[in-house]
Amino acid sequence: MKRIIKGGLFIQILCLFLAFIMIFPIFYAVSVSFMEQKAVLASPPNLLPPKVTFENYVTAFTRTTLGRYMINSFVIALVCSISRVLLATMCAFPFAFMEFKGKKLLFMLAVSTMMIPPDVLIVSNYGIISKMGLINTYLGVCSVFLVSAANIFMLRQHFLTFSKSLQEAAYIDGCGNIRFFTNILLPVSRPVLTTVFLSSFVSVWNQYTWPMLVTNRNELRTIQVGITMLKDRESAVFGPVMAGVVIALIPTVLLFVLFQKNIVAGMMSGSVKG
Amino acid sequence: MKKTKRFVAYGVLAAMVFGMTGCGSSAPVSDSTAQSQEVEGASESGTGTTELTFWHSMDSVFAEITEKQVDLFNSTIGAEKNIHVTPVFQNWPGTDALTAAMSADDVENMPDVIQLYSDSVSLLRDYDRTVWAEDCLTEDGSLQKEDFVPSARASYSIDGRMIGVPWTASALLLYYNQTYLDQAGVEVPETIEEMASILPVLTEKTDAQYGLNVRVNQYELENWIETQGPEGSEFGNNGNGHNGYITELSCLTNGTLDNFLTQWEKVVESGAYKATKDSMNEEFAQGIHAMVIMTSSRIPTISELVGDSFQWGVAEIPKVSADDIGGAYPSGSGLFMLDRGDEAKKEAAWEFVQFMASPEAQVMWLEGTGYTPVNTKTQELDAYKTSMEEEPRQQVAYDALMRGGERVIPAFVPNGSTMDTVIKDAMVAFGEGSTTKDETFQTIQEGCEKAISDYYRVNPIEE
Repeated sequence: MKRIIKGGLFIQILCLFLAFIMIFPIFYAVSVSFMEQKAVLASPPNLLPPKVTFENYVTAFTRTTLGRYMINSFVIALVCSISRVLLATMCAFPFAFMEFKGKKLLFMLAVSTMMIPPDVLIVSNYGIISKMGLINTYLGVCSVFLVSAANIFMLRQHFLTFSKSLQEAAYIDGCGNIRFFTNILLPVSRPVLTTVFLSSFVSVWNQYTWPMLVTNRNELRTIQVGITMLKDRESAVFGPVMAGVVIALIPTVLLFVLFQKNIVAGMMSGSVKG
Repeated sequence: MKKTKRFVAYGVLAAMVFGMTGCGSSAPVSDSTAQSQEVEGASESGTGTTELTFWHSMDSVFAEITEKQVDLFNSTIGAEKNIHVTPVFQNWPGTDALTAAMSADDVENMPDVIQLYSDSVSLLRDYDRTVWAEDCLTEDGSLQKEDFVPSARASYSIDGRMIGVPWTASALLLYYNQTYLDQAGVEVPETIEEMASILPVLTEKTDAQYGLNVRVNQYELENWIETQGPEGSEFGNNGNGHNGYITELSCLTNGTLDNFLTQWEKVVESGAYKATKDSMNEEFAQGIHAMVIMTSSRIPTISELVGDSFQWGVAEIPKVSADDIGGAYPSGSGLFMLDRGDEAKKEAAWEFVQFMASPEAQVMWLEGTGYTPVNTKTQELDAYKTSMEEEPRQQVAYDALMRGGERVIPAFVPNGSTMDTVIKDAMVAFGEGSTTKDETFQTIQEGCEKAISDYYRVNPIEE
């Protein structure tokens, strides 16, 4: 019994230690964002600001149009995440529940796109978006993020764990594919859908190169581009950059706080088949 | 309870979204952006304003001064000639979006004027849409070739013709802690050998942990190569790529690399040299290093960081041999024009470029950036004289640039980033004592030759 308690204690201490390692950079970023420049560069380093200043946040908002960039990022991330969830569920459904010729080949083709590094496609994607006249538009920025093979794969794997007897019972009761999909499958898959939505949101929110490439107007730039504008190549001015990083973190942190339970449930689902 | 929590959470999220909207609408949009939106509307209504797009990769205070320059143009020459310029930030070094637009021949979304660094000039030298500055220069124009610092002018010239116009310039300098030098009883070194000899003295007699800190990348190495000999030396063949393409590194065969490594070995053996780069500015300001070597554009930063802690100064980088020409080549960027099939835009772009290289625009760099004005006429302005009186160390950078003349100029190196990595890794290993001089030479030779051959295999030279 004592051995079990000791083991549990050890695991808890280990978890706390790992959590501290993971949270420390964020904690330090927040701390630096409230520090004066001299305090940031002091030796030995300050973990907490000796004197709290909001100057870095003022700089972040006055040097760039950070508010506008946040709206742009929010709109783009939201549209892309909704699109990804919708398209991924609709793709995953036939891959999991239907039998048709070429299903495996199509699935392999879809999944194989995960192996192509996005950077390789960036110029050809630009050419297509440019020919479609979508440069400097929200749609142009969103276009390459509207669907994700990883999301299709994740949902297909989850759908495969769905109880066959429940599915058959629904069909026997006269439930069609669309009704089964919308009224039964999607509601019970809510945790996974939340996870897919949030991971998509964070992934698109953090995009830098593509939004930079297809927007040549300040008013269409995203938050990650805005943070780049705050840095200084010639010196280590960390304060405004960290203020920008903290501001950029707020929406994603809030989303995680809101949907934390669903995310955990989503990650656990499929771990036990049947 | 759960419902209340969720309600509060949703409320916070909604407030944040609306708050962002509020920030967005109330956040101060830059003058240029606001003006751009107004003028776009005006242009549509037929006022005949020529709209120009200017891509730059300036951040922080550099971006602020760039905006000021553009605003000044828009409110003066632009207002007079119906030209409006919109500055657009692009990721450093500013070539990502350009490469994509060039590949797709996306003329509509190309800039009219773009800021590029010398190692990106290879992109434009054979491009059909490049408008050569040389073709725009006229005898009665406001900008003359003679107005430029000679090395800055030559930096953006190919076969004597200007492809672009210099815009920013800085020089590699030696920053020294005068207080430490006085404590150690030594003088500012003029050669690498002298520098190597005082390094152990500095660490022994002062609180400095290292006598010198510099990471030798391609930039630093190129400076030490090109400033050798009484008239300078080539880093790459064909006049550093300005009279043709660089197909091999001249420094491998003309003895300059070997000379440099021989002298640098003495620095390495001093035991008081740090070969890697962490926070060089801050470490120098905290007295960790007695001397550092970095670009003159950091003078304002160092001045702010050091404050009154100790006396410091800048000098030209120590020469490889006492009879070398010395000085430094102008690192920085130029402005390049692209032909988007509209003559009015081309003419307007040249007006803008001339302004950006004018004394009035160039003197703004002295407002806290540490860049040296590329237009020699800037020296006639009172603002320049005042700035030099306030920060005489800036004059050292100007003198270093003038010393090199037209031969000490940045090389148009193919596959620059790969070559930079090869040189950096080899020099760090040498500096840390893990490789010998001969091994370092061989690593640089093999790595750079491969980088060049890889580049031309993909981008063959058209006869």
